[in-house]
Amino acid sequence: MTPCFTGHTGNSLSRFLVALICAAGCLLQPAWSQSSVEYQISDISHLLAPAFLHDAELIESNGQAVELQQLLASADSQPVIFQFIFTSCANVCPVMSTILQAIQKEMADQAQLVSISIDPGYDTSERLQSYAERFGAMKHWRFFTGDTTTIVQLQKRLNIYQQNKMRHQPVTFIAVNQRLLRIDGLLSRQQMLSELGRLLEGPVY
Amino acid sequence: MCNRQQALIAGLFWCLSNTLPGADAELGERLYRQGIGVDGKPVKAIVQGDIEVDASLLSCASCHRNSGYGDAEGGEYVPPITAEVLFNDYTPERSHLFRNLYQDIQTAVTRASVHDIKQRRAYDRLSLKRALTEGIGSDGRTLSLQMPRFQLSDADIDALQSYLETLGKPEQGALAALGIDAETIHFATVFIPNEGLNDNTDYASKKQAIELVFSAYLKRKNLNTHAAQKKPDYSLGYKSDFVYTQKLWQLHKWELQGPATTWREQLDDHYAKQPVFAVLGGLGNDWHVVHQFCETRQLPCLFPNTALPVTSENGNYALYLSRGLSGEAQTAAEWLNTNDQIRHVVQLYRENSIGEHAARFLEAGLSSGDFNIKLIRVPDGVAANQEFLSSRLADKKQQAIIAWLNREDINQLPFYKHSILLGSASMAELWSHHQHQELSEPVKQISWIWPWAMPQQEPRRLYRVRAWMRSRWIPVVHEVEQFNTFFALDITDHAMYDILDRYSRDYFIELIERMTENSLNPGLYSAMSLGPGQRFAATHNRVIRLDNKTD
Ligand code: HEC
Repeated sequence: MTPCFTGHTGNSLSRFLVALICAAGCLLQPAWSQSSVEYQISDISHLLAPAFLHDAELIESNGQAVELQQLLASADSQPVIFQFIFTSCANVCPVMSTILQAIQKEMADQAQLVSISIDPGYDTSERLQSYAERFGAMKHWRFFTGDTTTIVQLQKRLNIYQQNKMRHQPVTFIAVNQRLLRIDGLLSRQQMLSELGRLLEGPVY
Repeated sequence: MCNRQQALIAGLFWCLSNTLPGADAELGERLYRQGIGVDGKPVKAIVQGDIEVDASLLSCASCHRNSGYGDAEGGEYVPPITAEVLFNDYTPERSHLFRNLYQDIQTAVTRASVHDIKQRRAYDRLSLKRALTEGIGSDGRTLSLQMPRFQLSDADIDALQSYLETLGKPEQGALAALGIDAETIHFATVFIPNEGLNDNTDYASKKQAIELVFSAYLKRKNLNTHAAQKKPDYSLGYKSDFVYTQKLWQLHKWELQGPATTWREQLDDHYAKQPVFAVLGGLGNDWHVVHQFCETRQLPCLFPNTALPVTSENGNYALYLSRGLSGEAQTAAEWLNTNDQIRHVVQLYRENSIGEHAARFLEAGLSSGDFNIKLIRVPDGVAANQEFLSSRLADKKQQAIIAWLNREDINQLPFYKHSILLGSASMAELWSHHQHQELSEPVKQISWIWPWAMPQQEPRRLYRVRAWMRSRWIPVVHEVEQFNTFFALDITDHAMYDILDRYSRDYFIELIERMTENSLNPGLYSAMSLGPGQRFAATHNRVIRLDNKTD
């Protein structure tokens, strides 16, 4: 994954140093040894090529069919932040959703939030709706499912597919201005907001 | 204060709970499982350093799980916090590490966390409070920010502590009550004869076919265990450290008799005679009584062959392969609802528990739609043939016939030009007949509700399981029931391998939830999966014709 940054980047020198260390291998720290949250960002804009994410019809929790392309089209003006979750997921997904919950007020007119189920067989519209309700999702936070083949395909294209959904990893994608970024790890609210802020400012990555 | 030696001598429970007069473990359990504080309100917490959440969204159990054994498999490593782990010093003793390594650890992060052996002191009231409220471990380390910092009152902490002291592995003496002896682990299976359904020769031959799978599996399993026990030093690695946890499997066949009202008592009697760790597989139409028994006893009951599982509520301990008839009725309802042409629905059903249940499920499933529903009951001893049907069936346009019949009926059914859809929950033979190309042309023209893998697209493991049976001289005469039984045994085998000596039924269920996925699919289903709280492993029904044509 190039380029790669860890979360805490201060001035440009330290950012440079971090980039160097990362380039040496993007070392993953044992989760328990951290006193602050770490994550990695990578630019995967090449995946936005039309041939790649096309033909992915999602079903919104209200039953409407929506093309992923169409959903991402709004990323021309506003970032679309999306995550893959499943409603029965115990440890990672609730924390992922909590992060969206924490920024949804600030993002009210500024971004679209999207959660896509990776368990379409189980996550019916009703289940997705009640999940949304539990997290107090506002109007611009939308929930989707789809048919199994589409959902598996989509995850494969985005390189996050796990045969067993219980091995689900925390990844957040942000699409904006013809770019697609992938964030591996769980962020704090502040980190998420400042990443979004930087993104909107210009091409940092 | 208790030191470790005192704790060992006086008994961990007594010693620790002595320091907490009056704390309520039940309130602690509620806090642990639902995030509700002692005062009845949701507890607040901060996760990821700066995100405020209700603990009802992030209860202890959602991460550390009901068992307290945590989760080494998901994206983030969640450590075990059972009484034994939490209230003892944690030293780099190899068995601690290896126990964790046994689990199927996937990611670099979790692998690294497990390998980095922690050394920390046993938790006490003070250090537990600091861990939960400030995120500082008993060794002074700052815990990962994924572990929320909770706003807890002193009463909350007391309640949680009393509960955590009971969490996890039972004391040695209690193992027998879980069906575990020094050398043996006991399992049971349940057989319920069909009352008034198919003929009993059918039941007897299914039961016998299933029994052959059980005995072949246990024979192989116990031979392997004997071999491992004879050479305890067989492995240079850590596996041999755990040979003592390998026990012989013993299966108890619980055959119920008489009317359903007496089944519960029979089950209780069997259990009193010999407690078992879990109930595996089984055969019977209606599983309600067994379900209730399993739930009240908190006894895992895995994957029986039944058309009537309990679908109305989500149990904790009863796991099923599919939703049976209820799932098929739902598929039929969806099929009818998406078919704009159909206004009239005729339900043709046998006068028996399968037919009646199915018809009732579908009626309920269609209640919101705008259908004209007609019910035709086929009494016992009467054939559902041209003669019987022509007088009762008006040949209407926009009509679909949904039939819930016995296997013997299929060849009698006249051919209709309107859609006819057959449920197959009670006709597992259909799968085998299709596999062996023994279906007649008219039967192939019927549309079926098909709970299995699509013809010609069966998962490859089908051939492996068939070969397994063949090499043990097991006649495969009831493939579906036999393969389902194989699956129940196989997944239990995998789970017991991970459990080692951590005999917790909750942990067992959590392992089964994690392990039920396509790689253990015996080849019958297009996809299998479970997850926390999910109780039906293969729910994907299709409507198909076996001649590959569409209506
Ligand atoms: C969102 C997931 C999550 C929730 C919810 C959660 N924990 Fe944790 N917990 C963790 C993780 C991850 C760790 C490991 C932290 C580390 O070692 O850095 C942990 C560590 C701990 C530890 C320290 C274990 C040790 O060996 O030092 C205790 C004690 C604990 N949790 C108790 C609780 C209790 C009690 C609750 C509920 C009130 C709870 N946790 C809720 C994820 C969670």
